Amino acid sequence: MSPGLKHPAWAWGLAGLYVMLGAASFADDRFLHDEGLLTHLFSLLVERDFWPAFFLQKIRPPIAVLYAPAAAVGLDAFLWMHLCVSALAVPLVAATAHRLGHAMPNVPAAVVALSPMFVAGGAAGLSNADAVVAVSLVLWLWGAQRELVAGLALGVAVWIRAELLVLVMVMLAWAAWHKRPRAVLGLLIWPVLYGLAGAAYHDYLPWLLHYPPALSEPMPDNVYWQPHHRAASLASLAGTAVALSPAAVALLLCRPRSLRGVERWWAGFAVAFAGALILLPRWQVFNFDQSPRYLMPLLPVLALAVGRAVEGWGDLRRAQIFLLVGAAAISVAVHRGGGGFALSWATLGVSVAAAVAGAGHARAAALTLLVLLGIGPRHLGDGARIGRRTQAAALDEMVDRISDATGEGARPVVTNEPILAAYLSRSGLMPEVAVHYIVQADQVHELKALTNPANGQRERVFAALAQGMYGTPIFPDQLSPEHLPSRALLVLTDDRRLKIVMPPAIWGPALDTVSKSPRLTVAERKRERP
Amino acid sequence: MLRQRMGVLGPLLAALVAAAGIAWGLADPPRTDANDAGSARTTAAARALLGGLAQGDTLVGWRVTAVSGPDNDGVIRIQLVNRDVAFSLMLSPLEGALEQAPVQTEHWAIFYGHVQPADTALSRNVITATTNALANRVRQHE
Repeated sequence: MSPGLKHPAWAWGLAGLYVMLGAASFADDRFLHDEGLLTHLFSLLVERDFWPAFFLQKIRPPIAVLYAPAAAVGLDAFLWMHLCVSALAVPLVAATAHRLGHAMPNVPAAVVALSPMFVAGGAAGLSNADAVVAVSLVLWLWGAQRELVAGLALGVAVWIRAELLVLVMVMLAWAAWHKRPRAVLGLLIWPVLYGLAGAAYHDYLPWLLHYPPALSEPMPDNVYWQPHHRAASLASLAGTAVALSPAAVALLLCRPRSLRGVERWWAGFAVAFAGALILLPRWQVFNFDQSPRYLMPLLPVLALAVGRAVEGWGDLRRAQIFLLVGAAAISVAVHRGGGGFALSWATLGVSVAAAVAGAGHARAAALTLLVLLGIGPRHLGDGARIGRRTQAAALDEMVDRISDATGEGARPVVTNEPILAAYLSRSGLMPEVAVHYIVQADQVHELKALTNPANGQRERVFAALAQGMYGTPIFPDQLSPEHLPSRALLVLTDDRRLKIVMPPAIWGPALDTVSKSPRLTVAERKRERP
Repeated sequence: MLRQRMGVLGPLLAALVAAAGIAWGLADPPRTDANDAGSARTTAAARALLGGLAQGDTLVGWRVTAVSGPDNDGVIRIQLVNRDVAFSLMLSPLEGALEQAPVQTEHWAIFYGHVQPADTALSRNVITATTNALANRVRQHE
């Protein structure tokens, strides 16, 4: 066996490669993302007013505090720190695989380091990438039978991404089955300490439930959610799986019998987690949509299962071959339906690698898989839907229109696009343009519902937000044609929510359209006629 | 021996299917929303609304180089060119429109934009003449 597939130092090398891949995207802000900017904003809130922010569960307190010093330095420092923290998942998964007796522990590490979705998420500042690190840490501790600390880490992780409650349930079931009360004790430490401290701050014992991390349902009549609740299509699921890792196809070759002890519990978590994340948005349960990034915490478990599959793919059974051919057939159906070639390339790569392994060349097979993984971050990541051009399709057009309109001197821009201010500033295109961000009604609704008005928390949180939120925020109660900044240019993306804070009956007569395209409206306040 | 062969030939069969699918997709790209029959029907309806205005026609001296839509937002776009200057007129459903259009019909708001070259300033006469000419056509057919 090649030492590169086993030696721990290679896992750190893969972590370095992960950082390089993520950092390469900083040059053109390929993965600039509003949710990443939100992670940055939450850390800034901790810096601006610690206690009201720390006891606002919405801000994901553990990572908000972790990143606060870097966030205070600037967005660049925050993104670099986030990328480096994300990279820790790579050696953690390698160490877990090593501890569980994997023959090639660096294969799972490579699956994590070269995951297109995880590279994008780490570079974008998404909390989903932090959840990957948290799950990797929990699995490492859990695999080492350090149940108390594993429980503690998982207890904290739920305050990073609430959907990790699924893993909590699996750990509770495992602890009950194997009679491991220390894991349960560990799970309770953070909620109890944080809950009691928060009770003192809020002067209200059940505050954890009364002011939860997220709304249990969307704002009533919020048009934003109406187009989001759709069943996940075969094409989108295939794209998501390949974006998680092109090696995901190799899961079809993983025999359940090859999983050992605790790995079967983790596989149970993966099935329950994927099922919940795919089905709950369809049933409109909880306040989230079908974004592929929600599935990112599956990556460590997926990587370990791929590691097991690779161990046994020199001796495939008929059922596994049937599944692999089936995946190839499905990949044809996916791209004939307009879903792209990602699944086809992934199936082709895994199949060739499996054939090479079947011929008795295990090392060459692993290298074939690494080649497939290597092309992933650049060419097979569209299914992650994290890229700037996917998330903010009108951004380049916005910059052109602002440039047209500011030819005779900079004008303040009023926009509903959250990443515009960061993009103009980071790209150096128009750093002198002051950007004012229109805060949407559902954002205010959520913050009001999740903060305590009685102890002053709500007021202080809104005061902290007023210092900066995707530019200079304009809250709905401050938004009127009369109060627009002088010479303001309104640059508005197509967002159904806009009509809630800018009723057409009021704004229609007050604006002159400068230009309009399917994705973008540029307008200015109607000039007074003499 | 048979099992070993199956372990090679099985994955190779899967690879062959995937590779053949890729080759098929490259040789004959799948139809997309932009070119399927549904979209073509919608464009025909838009053309009827525009009184048959199509590529190659003229609108008060401006040559129509493209007519597209309606898109997902119901917007129909007409691209106009005269010498080196191009711009677009957009017909947007009036219902729920946020901003007031330069010209409106009973059901449609008419906007202009996408001026090329970008630093070109369209004269008020051009804007008025083209938007009103389009509005007159639409009023006859909406």
